[in-house]
Amino acid sequence: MICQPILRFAATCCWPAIVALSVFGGHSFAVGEPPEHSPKVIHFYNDVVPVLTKYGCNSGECHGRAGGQNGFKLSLLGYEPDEDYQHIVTQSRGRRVNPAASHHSLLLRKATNEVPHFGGKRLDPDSIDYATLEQWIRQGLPLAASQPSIQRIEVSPPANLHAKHATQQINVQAFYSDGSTRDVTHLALFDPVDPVMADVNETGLVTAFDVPGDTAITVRYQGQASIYRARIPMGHPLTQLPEAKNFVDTHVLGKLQSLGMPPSDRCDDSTFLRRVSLDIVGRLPSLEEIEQFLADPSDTKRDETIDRLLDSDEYAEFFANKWSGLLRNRRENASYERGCVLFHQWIRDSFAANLPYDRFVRQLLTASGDLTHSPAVAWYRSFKEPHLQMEDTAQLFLGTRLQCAQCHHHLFEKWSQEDYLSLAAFFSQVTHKKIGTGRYTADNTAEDIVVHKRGEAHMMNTRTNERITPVALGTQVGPISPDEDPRHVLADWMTDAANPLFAKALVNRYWKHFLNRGIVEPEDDLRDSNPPTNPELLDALANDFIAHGYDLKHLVRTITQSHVYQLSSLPNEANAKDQTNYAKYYPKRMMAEVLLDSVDTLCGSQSGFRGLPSGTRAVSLPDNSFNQGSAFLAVFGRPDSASACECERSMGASLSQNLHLMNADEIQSKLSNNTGRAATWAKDPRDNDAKIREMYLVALSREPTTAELTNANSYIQLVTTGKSPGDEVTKAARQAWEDLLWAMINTKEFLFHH
Amino acid sequence: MSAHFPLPQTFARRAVGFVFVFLGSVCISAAIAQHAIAQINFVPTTQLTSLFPAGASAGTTTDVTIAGEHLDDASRLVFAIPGITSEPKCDQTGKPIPNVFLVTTQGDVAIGKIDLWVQGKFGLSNPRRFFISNLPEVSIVKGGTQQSMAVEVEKNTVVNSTTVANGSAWFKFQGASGSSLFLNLQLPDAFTEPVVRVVDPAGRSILQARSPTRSFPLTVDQDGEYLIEVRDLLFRGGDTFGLRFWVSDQPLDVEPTDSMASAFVDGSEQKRVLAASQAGDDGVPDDLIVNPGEGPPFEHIGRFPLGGKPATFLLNAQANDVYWIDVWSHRLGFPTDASLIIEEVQPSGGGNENAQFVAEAPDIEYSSSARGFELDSRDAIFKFIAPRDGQFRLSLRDIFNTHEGALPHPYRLSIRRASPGFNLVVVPDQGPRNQPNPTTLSVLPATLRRGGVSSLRVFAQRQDDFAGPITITAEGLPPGVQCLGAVVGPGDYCVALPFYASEDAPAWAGLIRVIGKAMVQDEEVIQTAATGTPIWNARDPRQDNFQVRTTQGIGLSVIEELAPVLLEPEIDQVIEAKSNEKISVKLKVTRRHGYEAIFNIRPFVIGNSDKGSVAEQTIQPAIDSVSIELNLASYGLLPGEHCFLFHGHADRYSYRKNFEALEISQTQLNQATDQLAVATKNASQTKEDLDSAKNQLKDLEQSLASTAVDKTATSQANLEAGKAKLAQATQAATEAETALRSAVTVKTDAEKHLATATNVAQPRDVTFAVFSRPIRIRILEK
Repeated sequence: MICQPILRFAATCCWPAIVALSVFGGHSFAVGEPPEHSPKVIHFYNDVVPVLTKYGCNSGECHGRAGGQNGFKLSLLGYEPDEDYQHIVTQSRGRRVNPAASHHSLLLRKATNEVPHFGGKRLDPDSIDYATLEQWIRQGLPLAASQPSIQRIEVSPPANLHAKHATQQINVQAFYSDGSTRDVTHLALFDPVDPVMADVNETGLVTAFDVPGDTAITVRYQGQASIYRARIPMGHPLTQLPEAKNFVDTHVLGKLQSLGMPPSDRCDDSTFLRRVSLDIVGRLPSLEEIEQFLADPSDTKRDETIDRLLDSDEYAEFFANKWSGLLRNRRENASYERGCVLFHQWIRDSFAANLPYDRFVRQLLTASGDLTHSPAVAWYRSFKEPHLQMEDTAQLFLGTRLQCAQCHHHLFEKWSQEDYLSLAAFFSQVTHKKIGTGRYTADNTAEDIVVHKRGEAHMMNTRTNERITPVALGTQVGPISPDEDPRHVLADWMTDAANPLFAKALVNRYWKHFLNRGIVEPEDDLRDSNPPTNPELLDALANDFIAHGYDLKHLVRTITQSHVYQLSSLPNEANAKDQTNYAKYYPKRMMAEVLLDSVDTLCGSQSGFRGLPSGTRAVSLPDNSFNQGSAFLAVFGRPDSASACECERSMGASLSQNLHLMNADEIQSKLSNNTGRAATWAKDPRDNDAKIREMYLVALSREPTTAELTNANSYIQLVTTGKSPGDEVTKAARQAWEDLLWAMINTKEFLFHH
Repeated sequence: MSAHFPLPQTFARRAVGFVFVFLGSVCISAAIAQHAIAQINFVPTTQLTSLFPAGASAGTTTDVTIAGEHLDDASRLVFAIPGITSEPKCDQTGKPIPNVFLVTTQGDVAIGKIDLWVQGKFGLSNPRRFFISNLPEVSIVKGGTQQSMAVEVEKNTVVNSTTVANGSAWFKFQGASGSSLFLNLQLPDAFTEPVVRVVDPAGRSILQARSPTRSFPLTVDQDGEYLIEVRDLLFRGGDTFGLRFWVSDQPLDVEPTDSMASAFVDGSEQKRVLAASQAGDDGVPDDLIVNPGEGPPFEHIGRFPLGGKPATFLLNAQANDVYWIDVWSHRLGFPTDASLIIEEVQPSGGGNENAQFVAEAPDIEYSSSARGFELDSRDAIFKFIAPRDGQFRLSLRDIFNTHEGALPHPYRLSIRRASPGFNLVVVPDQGPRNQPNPTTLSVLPATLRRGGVSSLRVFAQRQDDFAGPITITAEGLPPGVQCLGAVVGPGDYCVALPFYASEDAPAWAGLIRVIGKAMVQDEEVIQTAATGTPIWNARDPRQDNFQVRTTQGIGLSVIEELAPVLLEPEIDQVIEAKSNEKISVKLKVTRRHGYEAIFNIRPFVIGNSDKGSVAEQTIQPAIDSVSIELNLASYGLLPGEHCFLFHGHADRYSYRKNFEALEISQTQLNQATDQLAVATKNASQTKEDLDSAKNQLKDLEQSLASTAVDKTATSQANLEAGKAKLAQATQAATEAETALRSAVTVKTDAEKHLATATNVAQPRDVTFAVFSRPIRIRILEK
């Protein structure tokens, strides 16, 4: 039984995985197999720099920091070897190296701590790597005019199955432009993606732990990156799996089967309705919706509910709220109000019209004109520098964080500073004008009119004084004439079906929205060295998304209709530790706006927002400015729209949140609202059971259990007994209802999607 | 003459040589306005903020209520077109209801938007827009605040309404399945930026849209009640958030733009271009050949290609040919940004060509002093001098609408030989500024006080390098008012046009015309200035929602107050000097009403005050003559005649507003007091009479009851007479009591009015804008 999953897993990791099969159970490579130690010429780039990298000399904590360390600077991780050569050989009058007496070179004496070295002993004088450096110095510090450049590295095995606590030695081969290869295992850098699941030592020995699932080890060498994938099966017998409703189920359940990890049961109707309402429209289902849904015997009611929610205006408002934050719709000052409202409306209208995602992004990126006619230009007022516009574009729409590459080669990815600048070059011709709107901002510049400025798109590399023209992350786009707006060229490339990142970035983001964990995590950090936990699922979602014309509602439908989305959050005995394989639903706390609206719904109150009509929901707020006036939103982490990262929204728990829910005046006033539920129920002639039932239905979308009914009734009795009929008992009853509602608000079941 | 904006190649984009540069940041200066600019308290002038309803149906009489500042004694509305009259509406007693007018439109009055002004005690107000329609109209100040309270509206009936602060206004209409309807909007001069939503009987939103679109098609696919939600974009509401809407089976006709950038465009031009461009796509093949030659100007009307693609034209030119290439789109009211690139095209063999960049036409920009008047334009105009014989490609794009979903907007391309000329626009003077950069806007019209000077601001748009002087005068002036004239000197683009009212000039208010004359290529050209105004006072155009538009006229008024200060040159003659000389201008200072405070003045408009420093001069209290030194070098004046004046703020002018009303109130109180005394006396007398009659009757009754009295008919008659007398006395007493209560009320009201009038008429220190009579300078050749 286990062999089939192995074969399937191996087959999907392409043919090297077949090779890996032959080593199942632990082929090991000898640790520290060095390059052939012969009197060959030592190459600075290919031999010396890797040693400096492996032993941390050029790390960011040491000589690789911006200012170097103790007067000796190296480029971070050796990304600028020419500069490193100069620093080592010629700087400080060449005192660091002594070809005539190589062992006395300061470079070596410091590294071995023979001379006091702040970084301690980094090299053993008997080691091969010491010998490499010494040999290079002795050879006269050669810097060959042409050295073969590294093209890629390969890890073998590329993947493997691990029993719990089993080990696997991985081997790293480097491939060079002259066709040569080299075993560089002992000099490669290894990092675990998820150290809870598996770890790796400095020689590449991987050790799995007891958390089942897929994980990876990142391998880096000389600016190249690759991964080793480890699968740690649970090995639980799976006698039966739910029938796959769509390809989502096929891929997720298929993997669970290969892991031997049984999924949890399907969630009940109450849980489903509450979950999907919160996820699609950002609110609790109404009492009528709940009662109608629970009473409906139809097999298709869940799908129909999804369709109904997607067709509502609330869907557009909820997702406009999400994207408004990501697109930095930020009210910097009072004069920004109009632009923020217009931008928010444009986003909202786009979702209401189900504008295909590729067109949404295209309209945003290529926005030109003024706010009145083209509200999407508001995105360009968050920042006017091309590189910042590019960073957000890359992070939001390509799931690629390029920020690091502004100053140096990306640490964990293949992107260089040139990639950074050449992508930013697409935004280099965006300019702001002052004409014809009649509106000016506080700094006396015209309200945002954004247009393309004629000219050759380029960025300057200030380090090399080089002119960098637009290239889309390694993809040549050809010459762009000065009259052509390069943003259109960028949009063409991004939205092309062949783009490997655009669709994946979005489907991963939406997957995380609904399942609380991206297939790639973080959701906007897609890179080779951060592999997806289910690459087949990610590919399938992306391909399906493209095939359906980037239809966002279709994507939501696909995800939420799947069996996987509708799994219970209650673990079974086998999948309790699962965090990455979607064997169960991962609960998440309601986001700030949704929680505030839910509290209002439960209490029968309204939150007021200055300048907006009463009854405005928090999920409909157009921008960040309302955070300042709402302690609730601030405490529960509504983002300030200062970042393109969803991580700006705080979804964690904190003591201040607990205290706010328990003690804040705001909560107390909602509970004690004269027209709220507590006051209304106190005068409601219905029996308490009916009202308790209503409370549970509204808050949790389910009926109370017998015990819960009994407890609530008992409490009401306790509070109202002995009170005189009339006003006194009504007042006591009101107090009791307020207390019950307060308790309900403070339950995890209320606070979380589950 | 259509307006053209030449860009001399020798000048940078923002240089002095650019047409329509408003010289000096003094052009838009610190406001005199009282309403929105709280820091300075000015002498009152009539200001009109809003009116409701903002329109009427032709052939009807409508109650129109106005709102604003200093509307004291508002007696009539002045309309820009004939066929509309007004009179104050009166209550049942015949007394005029303040600020309410009966507006009567004749059946054949022109349909569309017009301007109206109100005349009151403090002169003629700023204009406000008023619509004349051919549909029935209703006024619904506020719609329902919730869906369930939606107010029913009829189709093809214009609804005059306002938006609701912090909420929406709900209306409803009955829709019939299959009907093709439109929801049309019109905006008066208001802050409103409307957002509309229509909900069908099933509760689905079938329309959610906002301005600037004005006409929205509706898909009505089922019978039933349709809801209309109307709100402001930012949920604002109130008197200054008016709007008009109606549901109709006809879309709204395209209304001509009233942007200031289109001030010199004939109102029909936008429609002409729109109609001519309806052919669908641009309709111009690639590289349309243009041979302007000596014939009429080349003109092409089309639509910008989508996606920022160019429409291209190949211009065959000979060396040193001079052409003015003019692209009109934004100036016609379309939301575009025309980019014009000129390249020289040379064949390079094999059917290929080399295109060498020659020039990019800049936008039409003005100096910072023009900020607020929206005269900038994103259109392109370029003076092209062919460097050699050859072909030159003109690539025309709209870089505003390159994104997906944008619409192709119309343009008009004109290529012509030089056609020098000028156009003028006159606007309310913004008054003296108190900061270097313009930060305020004022709607204040020119209001003359007797014996004083006020001014309008005239901007000249010079076409195709016309640089000659332009003499400015005014027509239609009332008796006692003199236009002191102005000259827009060579190289100048802005001038203050002063007016003087004699000390016995009668009160007057009306519209005038400003005329400019110049010799252009040895022929006299006369132009009537277009007119415009800001809609709102703006304390800070950087923050406030200010709007400026063209108007159908410019107002002037005279009020019966004496100006506290008059400045005039001691010798009224042209000063001759060289451009780098220093001159001394001697001003005579006349103070009235005991005004003795210090005030400062500065010269305006003189040369290019963007370059020069504008120093203030202080006028001390006791002097009646002041000599002011000016360093002409700092103003960059070209040879020729120039005209300027001095202006400033005169503070601490002790002013009593409408003290006539105080006198009237006092008189009324006196009368009321007298009447009360009479009524009191009367009441007292009648009471005495009543008591007497009662006593008499009592005596008579007692007498009859007594057996000693002879019960004859006479006695009975006396008794009846006594009863009748009692009845009369009772009635008289009752009436007197009623009259007494009424007299008390009248006196109480009179006391209140007097208290109000007393408060209003309290002497307060206000600021007065001082303008001098003009000073003329002739700059001599070096």
